[in-house]
Amino acid sequence: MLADFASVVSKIESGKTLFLAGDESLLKRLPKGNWIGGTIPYFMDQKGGKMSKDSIFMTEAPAAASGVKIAWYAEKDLPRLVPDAPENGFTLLIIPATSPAHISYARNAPEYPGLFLKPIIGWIAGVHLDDLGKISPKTFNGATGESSDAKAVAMHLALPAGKQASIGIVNLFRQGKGDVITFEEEGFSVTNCVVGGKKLNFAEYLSAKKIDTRLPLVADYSGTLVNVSFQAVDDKAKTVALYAPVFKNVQYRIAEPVPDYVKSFSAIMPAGSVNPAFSCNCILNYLYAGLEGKQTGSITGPITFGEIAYQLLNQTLTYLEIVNS
Amino acid sequence: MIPSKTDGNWAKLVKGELQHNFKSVPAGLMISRLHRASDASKDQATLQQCIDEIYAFFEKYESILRDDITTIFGKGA
Repeated sequence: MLADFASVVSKIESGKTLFLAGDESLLKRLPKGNWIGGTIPYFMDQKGGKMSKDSIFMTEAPAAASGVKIAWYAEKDLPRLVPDAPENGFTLLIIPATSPAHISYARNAPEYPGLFLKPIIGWIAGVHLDDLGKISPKTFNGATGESSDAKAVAMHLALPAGKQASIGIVNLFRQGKGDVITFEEEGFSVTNCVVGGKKLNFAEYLSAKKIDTRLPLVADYSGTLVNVSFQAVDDKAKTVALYAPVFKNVQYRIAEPVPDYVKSFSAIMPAGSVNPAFSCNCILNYLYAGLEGKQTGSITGPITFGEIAYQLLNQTLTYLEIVNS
Repeated sequence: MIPSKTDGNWAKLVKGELQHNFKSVPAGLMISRLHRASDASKDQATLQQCIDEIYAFFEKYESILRDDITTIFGKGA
């Protein structure tokens, strides 16, 4: 829920374990306690999408969770996330956008041994869009009061026998009926793609096909649709910048347009159909679908610069539920 | 009860010869990664490593993968 500064202070002082999202000016004044946080001033509240530098989005850790451990992860430490996580529980991870930790996690997390055996959910911290390039996104370790624009912060929480963490996503995008696109180079920036066995310049391809780059590339991972969103197409340098890396040997297609995001969302996930312990949605959905003032069912949370459901996702609502095992 | 690692469907699943759309997000992400790993290195050791990995996942999350297990391995599983 969105809360004012005093209410968050009160919750921290009462000893609650919290996941926080808000403007840096607020997070840096909070007292020490059992919390982690990341910067972002965009939220989905019960009343709809909202930008606020005066409120903090506060999520209380599930009542069943215990054994809280908070840790920083610099780029080189990220592979330690999985062994550090409890055997039964989950990890809430926040990474500052554009930091080395962000780039490294996006590229390498799918290869971490045992990644999919330990639920990891989280988000990429950001800033107000007017502050892009002026202020760096930050993560906060409430236990020590420290912040960082380079390191990820994680909270590991254990669950008792009989309870299990389950991570779900809502991706409104489907693969369109256009070309299958593959890449021979991996990363956030690509020059060439392969279409129908022919190597093409990707920027030229997008231009020739008049692709709406608000629609992501979509890959089908055995039933889980994973988006890679477009950041910019540089027609002079003939390169395409992406918000997540593309990988070799993965088949992508440009997404089909979503005519009405809010209506489609409600159709896929009627209010009350899930009971998330934490959720977040993407800034690109907020912007492109005009979510300011509009509700996406009963799902609330920070609006982020990337979502984490084990690995980095784009333009995808991500949520955590605690279920009986 | 999940079938033993010697059941041929584990290898087919890892190699992408048996296509299955999972409802579980980590299952889909994981099996796709294993397809890529087994594609990149076609030796028996890699295949066995991939089977060990997917087996450990199914063992841990058997309760939420019950429908997938029935579809992949048949009603006897």
